[in-house]
Amino acid sequence: MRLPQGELLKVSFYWPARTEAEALRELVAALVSQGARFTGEAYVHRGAGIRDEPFASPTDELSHQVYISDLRSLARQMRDANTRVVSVEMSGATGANRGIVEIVTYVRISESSVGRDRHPLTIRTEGWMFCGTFRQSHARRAKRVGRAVYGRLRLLVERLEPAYAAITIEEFMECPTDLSRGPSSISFTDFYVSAGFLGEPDLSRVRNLFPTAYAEPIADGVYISCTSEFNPAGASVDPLEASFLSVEAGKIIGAAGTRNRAARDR
Amino acid sequence: MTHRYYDAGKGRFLTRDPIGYGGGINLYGFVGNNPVTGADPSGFRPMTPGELDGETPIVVSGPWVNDTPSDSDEIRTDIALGLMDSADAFGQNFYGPSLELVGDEDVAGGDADFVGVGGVGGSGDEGARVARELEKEHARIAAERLDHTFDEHAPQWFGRKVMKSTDLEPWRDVIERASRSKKVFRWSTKGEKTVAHLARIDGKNFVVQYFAEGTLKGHLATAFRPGEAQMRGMLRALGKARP
Repeated sequence: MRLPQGELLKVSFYWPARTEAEALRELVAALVSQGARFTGEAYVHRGAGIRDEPFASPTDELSHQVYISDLRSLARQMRDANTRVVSVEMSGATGANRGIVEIVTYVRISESSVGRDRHPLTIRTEGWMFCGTFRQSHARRAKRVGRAVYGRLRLLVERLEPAYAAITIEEFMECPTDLSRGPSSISFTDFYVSAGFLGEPDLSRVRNLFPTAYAEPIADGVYISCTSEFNPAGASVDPLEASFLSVEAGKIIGAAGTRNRAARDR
Repeated sequence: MTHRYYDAGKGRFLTRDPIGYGGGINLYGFVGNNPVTGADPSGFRPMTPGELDGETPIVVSGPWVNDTPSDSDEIRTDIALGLMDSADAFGQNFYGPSLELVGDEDVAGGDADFVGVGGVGGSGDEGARVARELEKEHARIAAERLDHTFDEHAPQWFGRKVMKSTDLEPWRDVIERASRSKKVFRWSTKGEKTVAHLARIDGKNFVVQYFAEGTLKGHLATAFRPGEAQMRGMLRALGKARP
């Protein structure tokens, strides 16, 4: 088993109502139920009361290696208020790459979002087969990996009901607060978004942004895919056009997050 | 001076200056010392390499490999020319960050100003305000993207867990050094077109990619230590033997 090398494929999820720790535990549990295994390695931050302290990124603090071999030992680490579990290494998490350590961890949020929003969670694996010369020379592998990741995302969305989720290569999926700060996200080209989070009118707006993309109802929302490898129909949208559409989708998602938070605060 | 990608095959620059603001405001600044060159001081007339004062442009040749079948290696100039164009296409009142790579001329060395901003030559409060907003937005995106590459790829480069307070600056330094590499090639990441610089740093291979089109054009796309398999593909794209 070796660590994943760039470019990285990431499957990311965001829940507005779950604490980061809850989200991590539930995501890992769902992955285990779908056949993922712990490699044993996990990383934590240590400090008085650190578990419940807001943070921007796992790289904010020195990470300490701990041994986590099952859900019970994960829960034990998470019960300790002086320990913040920031990453768990697994195999078979995405169902895409054998022999590669896949890392379940938090996505960085901006300093201005710390304490105001939740961290998206992500599963990192290798995605080089979607890049450069490899996309042709390893087309079958890219298709196999892409379909596996699509299938895994679908299952996880149905089980865990995130507000939104995305499959990206190298790009990072932002939290709503960061999305609302500036229209620059190109993460929403292969993604799921729920009606519960967006509301039906905005879900329709997002869907209508991508008239030629693959669209599939999943859970209470829709999965939209602009990349042929990440949908069963092999549908694709010109990547440049898709990236501009992503910016628009990101704006709608960011605005929904802001609106929802304001409603909760009231 | 604005730096732009130059395509030897097409005999033209791949990007243009942002004349959409009356030509007075250079809206786009990023990555001082980035060796992606080709200059048009006026912002209106592309200069040939020979016209550049003491500068040797980095020649980016060959097609973007492996885009989706519907794509070609032709630059989508209708959209990629700038955010103003793309905003028009979407009917949005949207000005966003960064189209051109600008920086000083000292490619080989000198003080690197990683988040540089082009000169502001516009007149009037509105132009200055817009320029300030763009500068701020631009810096935010640049810092954000640097942070994310750090989180995801610095541990592999340094061979250990990393901490932002101590390791971000060395990581930035590696990216800056790699960005000066003249081993430049086109590379796509899930269809997103980038220009990549491959370098040998401290005895290890390293690649840094910048977006070549779209909303984030000119911004850092990613930076990482390629594995053996990636190196083979990148060397093929570069058309060269192992660096």
